Amino acid sequence: MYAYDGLDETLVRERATQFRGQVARRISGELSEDDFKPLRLRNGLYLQLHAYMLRVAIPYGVLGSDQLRALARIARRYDRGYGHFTTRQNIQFNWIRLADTPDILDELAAAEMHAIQTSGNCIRNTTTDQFAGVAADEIEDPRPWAEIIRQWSTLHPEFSFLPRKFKIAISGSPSDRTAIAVHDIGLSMLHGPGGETGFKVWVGGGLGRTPMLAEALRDFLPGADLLSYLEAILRVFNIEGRRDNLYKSRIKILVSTLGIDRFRDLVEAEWAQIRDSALRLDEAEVSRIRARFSPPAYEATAESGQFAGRRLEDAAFARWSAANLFPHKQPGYAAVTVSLKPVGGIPGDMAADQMDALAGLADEYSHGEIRVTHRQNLILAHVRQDSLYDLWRALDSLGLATPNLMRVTDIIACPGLDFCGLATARSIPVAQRLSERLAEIDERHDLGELTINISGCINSCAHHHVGHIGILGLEKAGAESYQVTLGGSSAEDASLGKIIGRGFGADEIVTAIETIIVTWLELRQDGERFLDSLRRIGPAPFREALYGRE
Amino acid sequence: MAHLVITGNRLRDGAVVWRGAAGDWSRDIADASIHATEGQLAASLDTARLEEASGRIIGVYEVEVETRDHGVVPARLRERVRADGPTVSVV
Ligand code: SF4
Repeated sequence: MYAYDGLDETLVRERATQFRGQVARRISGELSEDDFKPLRLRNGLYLQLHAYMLRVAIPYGVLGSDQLRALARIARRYDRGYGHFTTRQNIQFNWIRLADTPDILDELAAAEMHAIQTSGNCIRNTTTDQFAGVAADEIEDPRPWAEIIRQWSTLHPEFSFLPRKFKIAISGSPSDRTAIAVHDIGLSMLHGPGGETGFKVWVGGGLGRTPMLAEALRDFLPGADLLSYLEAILRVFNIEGRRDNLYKSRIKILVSTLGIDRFRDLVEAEWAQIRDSALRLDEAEVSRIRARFSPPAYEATAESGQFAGRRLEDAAFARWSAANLFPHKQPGYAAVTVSLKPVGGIPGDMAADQMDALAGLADEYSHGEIRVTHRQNLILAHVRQDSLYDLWRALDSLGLATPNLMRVTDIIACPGLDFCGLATARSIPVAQRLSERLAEIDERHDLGELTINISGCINSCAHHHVGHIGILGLEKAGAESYQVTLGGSSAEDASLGKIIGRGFGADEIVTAIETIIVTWLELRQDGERFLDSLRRIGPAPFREALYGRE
Repeated sequence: MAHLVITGNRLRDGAVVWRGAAGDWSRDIADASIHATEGQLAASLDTARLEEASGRIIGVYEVEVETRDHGVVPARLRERVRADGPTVSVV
């Protein structure tokens, strides 16, 4: 995995020192809150309902075991002994004291981590496939490119005050596990006519108040031109994007207002000016970065007979293997999803003790590397098949082996009104009650892939528009009201869910979702996915089951 | 006028605090001074905002409350969550 060079180290340490001075001046009263707020947000520090929240960057979701231990230490020393993994592959601490933040940033810097650009109208953490470098269907490992984008975008002076925040996702596989269609820029890797690596470029996707799927901006962009082309897009957005209306300031609004053709013309004109500038990536530089992501030293091993045998002997292990393992391109290995969605638990939360224990398991079984997924789970990406049984038993004893990846209890939920200052309703208790109610139905009927996403307000941090079932918490006449959307997907068949009808109260929403699922089971054909049934039969039967023949 | 109390967050740790009759800030909403007239509220808010400017408290605003058998309760769920803490127990 990527290791800091001297430049990264200096930059992060200098930023921590600078913030120490800013915090001291704020506490002494020298800086007003109005002056200080943009500075703290630049360092990922928000004020939430009960305390400050610190969002720590995990570039493209990759962590070393010592970094996870550092996060555990921070959780224990400065928070309440846990952290919350987010849909942007980052981690948040919910109970932070302002006065402690300089020490926390120092501890992060010592572990080659930081909170830079986790907030504010800048380019945020570039997200990528959790199975990067591992997936058998991969065209190329996207992480070196994500790292190139990180280096280019970090403290980029021209793009520090964009009209609005900016999110980029990059996928190296035809199977999209990065939700490209709902990003400001989505990059999917492909080979060009001469076999060279490049990208299909998508632009203008996003959720929130005005959900939109990205449009294709360029069918093939050579890898060498990645930064100049990104710079051209950002430049057009920076100049043309709206700054007068918060709700119209994302690039998706600009693209839809101008139309994709006009937007493309502007980008291409800008690009023509800078294409052959210093932004052009030479092969030596790309190779230098690529070398930092070379695969770990896999042992030559065949498909494990022991693994097959254990699955026959132990039904619980077989169930977990079927749900939480991903095929590895190296024979005899597998990538393991560590579920942070225990039934009845808080999606994405992890206790410090679990972090320490998982860091140990990563060292023992997966070359000391952990990844964060945008579904708020973790990955051990390089596990020998003949170690899987022992690893599973260890994970199970830690409460980290729920066999539910992409299943109905693998719910994505934002912090909602229990923590978030912008929320209009709670999401966590709905997720907890739903997973308790639906686990049993899943066990009985094997529901297969069925995703549920719950956001606590229209900002849509839990991407509810692209859940097969989406739930949006609102406040109606002083009470929580939950709006349900059906038919969303963030995969390569991306679609936005459609509202099924009027919302449900907090005491009705779990039964409403159960009704949808029970109705579907009557209509399901040949083990098809909920999403496929819905696409086949449409929403009418669900509407009727929920509201009768109104 | 509805009954109102004044709230904010403590600068140092972000903790939710409620303004008492003596101008003190308490972690407990039971200690909050309740305002029943516009005039009372405006005077208290003015002073609270001065305290905000001096830096100890941030984000001062008023919150509507109801008096129930077991004490003062904010009318909106958001403020009830602020007063009582998250409704879920953490890991
Ligand atoms: S969706 Fe709304 S409630 Fe949920 S984390 Fe985002 S801003 Fe907060």
